[in-house]
Amino acid sequence: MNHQGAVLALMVSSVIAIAMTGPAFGETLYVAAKSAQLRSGKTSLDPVVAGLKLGEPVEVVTRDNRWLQVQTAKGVKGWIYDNKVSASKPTGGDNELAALGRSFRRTDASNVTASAGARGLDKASGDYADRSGLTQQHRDAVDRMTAYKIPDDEIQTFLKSGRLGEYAE
Amino acid sequence: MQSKARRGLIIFSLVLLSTGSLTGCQEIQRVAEDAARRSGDPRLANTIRGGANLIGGLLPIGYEEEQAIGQAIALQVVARYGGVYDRPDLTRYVNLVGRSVALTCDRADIEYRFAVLNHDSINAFAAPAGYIFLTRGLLKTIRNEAELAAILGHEIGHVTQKHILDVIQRSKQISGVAEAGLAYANQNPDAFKQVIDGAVKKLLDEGLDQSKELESDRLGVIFASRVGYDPTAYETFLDRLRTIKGDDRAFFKTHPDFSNRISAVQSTIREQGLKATGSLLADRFSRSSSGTL
Repeated sequence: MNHQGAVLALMVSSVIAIAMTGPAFGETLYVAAKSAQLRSGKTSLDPVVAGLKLGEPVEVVTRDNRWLQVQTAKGVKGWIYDNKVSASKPTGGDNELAALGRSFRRTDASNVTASAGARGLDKASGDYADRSGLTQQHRDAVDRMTAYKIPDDEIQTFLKSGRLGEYAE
Repeated sequence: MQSKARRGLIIFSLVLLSTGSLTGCQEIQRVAEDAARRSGDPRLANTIRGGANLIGGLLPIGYEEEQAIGQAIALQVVARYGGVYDRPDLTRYVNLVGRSVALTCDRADIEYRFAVLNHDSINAFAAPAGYIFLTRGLLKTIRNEAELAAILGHEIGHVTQKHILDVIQRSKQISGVAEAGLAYANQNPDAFKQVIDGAVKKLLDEGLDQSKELESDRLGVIFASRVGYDPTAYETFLDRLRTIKGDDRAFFKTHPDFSNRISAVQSTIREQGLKATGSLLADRFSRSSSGTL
């Protein structure tokens, strides 16, 4: 095998090795869950050492089944369940191209009240409801739907009682 | 000659505009448009506006715009499917399952909301910006929480992949209104209505492309499995639906046939190495839904 062939073979085998073992030591992963906790041990009963934000990078230290020991940029080490991280950075609701598109389309962001968490249909959909002759009852239904909130800790309690996610083990 | 120079400046401005300088592009567009108007060339001014709108129509739709579109489509879904079935405990349960799945989906940073429609048909819909609906009839055919999680995961998949927005942006017929496209629509209620009505027709009457449905099937089972639900539950559900729907032509107008869907789900489970966890949560599902349907 010539030199190039050897390099190629090495690269291919490395890729296969990485693919088979999942996140490797030192690899950077990103928090892909809306809320994620870093724990002192690899069970859901261990105390939380840090709350992580969506998109935050973490470096893999080691792996044990579905639990990963990671280190944050601030140097905090802890364990996280693997359904909350991803190899690619989440793209999110908006990106620069979308913002550029919006600016070309001249949408006035202040028209949107829903994004601030306030109740009420936004201006464009409110106008649409008027023009389409939709009833107040249906407007109220979508309005309530928009405003409906469940705190994250209640979702965690729900997952826990169903022994789902990190509460399964 | 002077006019030529001005024209050159305007063209230069437009080039700047289209090369993607994020800050101030609106200003550049306005300056160019004003310059053209002042030079007594309204046609050129309109071309500049049209050009910018055209670029705008090609660029992705941002979240705020998506919310306006999602809300308007949601209004039509609610109006055409018997209104929202208002049972607070059931709404809360469906939202807990849906949000548990959404928490670790591929687009976890936006809000997802779930509502039950007071309709006997078996169906579910997703409007942009996370407005997700399932009918009372569909809930009646579900046997456990793992099935519900995958169905909601399928709808969440439509939102993460921005399937409806893609339809809007691709269809000139929908975004219509000559070169203005979505651009114009946000400023003009008539055009906005045309965009929404077109998208609603596609969603409720014609159905999305089969490839989008299959992609959402695959994502639904992946998202539900990520939370720990048994992925094989979705297979069982689709199989039950095949028995119930039989040769329902109206349904197959909007969805790929069940054999294709089931094999797509099976190959996803195999290729992604999704584990049959046995977590079906049938008791919790029947406790939470019984007596309310």
